[in-house]
Amino acid sequence: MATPAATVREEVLTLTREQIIAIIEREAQKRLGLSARDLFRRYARGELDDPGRVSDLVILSHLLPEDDELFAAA
Amino acid sequence: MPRPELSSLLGELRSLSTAYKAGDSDSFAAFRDLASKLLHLTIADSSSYLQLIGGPTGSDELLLTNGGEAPLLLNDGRFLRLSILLYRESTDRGVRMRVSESSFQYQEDQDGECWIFRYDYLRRPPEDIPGAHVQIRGSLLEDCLPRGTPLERIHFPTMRVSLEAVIRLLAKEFTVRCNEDDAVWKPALDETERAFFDIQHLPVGSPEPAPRSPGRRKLRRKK
Repeated sequence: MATPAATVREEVLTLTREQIIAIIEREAQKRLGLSARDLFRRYARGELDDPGRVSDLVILSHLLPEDDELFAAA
Repeated sequence: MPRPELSSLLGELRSLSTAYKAGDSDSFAAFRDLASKLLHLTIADSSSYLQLIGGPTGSDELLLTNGGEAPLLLNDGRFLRLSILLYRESTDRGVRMRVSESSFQYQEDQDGECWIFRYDYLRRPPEDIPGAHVQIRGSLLEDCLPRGTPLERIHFPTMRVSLEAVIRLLAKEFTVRCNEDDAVWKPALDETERAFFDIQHLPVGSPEPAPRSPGRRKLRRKK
């Protein structure tokens, strides 16, 4: 998972909602050819052939509020 | 490493373990420092580092992952994709830090197309997949799976697997070179793994119902 480059190794790199979604969008597109929204919809429905390919993105998404609209379709 | 230095190292690791188990605001950094120390005693290339990442909802839940643009580079030129979700939880003994989810993937390439094995522990996995499992990208010698099902799609259930166990596996079975001698890193991993077992959440066979993390409701900032 590529995170925004930090010029120093910050104690905690705080990402905005937009930055988190941008990472998920980019990686979901690259790995599975899906949008972030489709990724979570298919993940929740068990429709991904290999959900483990995106385990790191699923874990990252937990930094968002549970009611984030990204999960609305899931 | 001479014995006094090993004692000093083990003391440092114990201090970090105590610090992360304390559950205060420094716990996350202590866990990061501990994991980083273990990786750099063993299989990690010197350029690899770990990063704590927070989101928009507050500071009681942080992700520990590989820093920079790529997974952790290992001494064998391969990579370890690492994600550990940490949170703070109110308990009868005060606030404690816990690991709620983790994923470790050993891979040949930076992008993870050529992954080798992965250990996942997810609180809410897709239906019919055990929350804690291992997958291996390979093939079986016997023709025993349903037609067209590759071995890599099989989720072998496991208990929680620690970072220490993954490091041992890579060092001993995959012969990834370690930065210190066995006499140093083995006792170091043993020391810290005992502390991990105190904070782990044990998986059950079926996905856990919401909320994803039991401590979230108590400690999360209100929106």
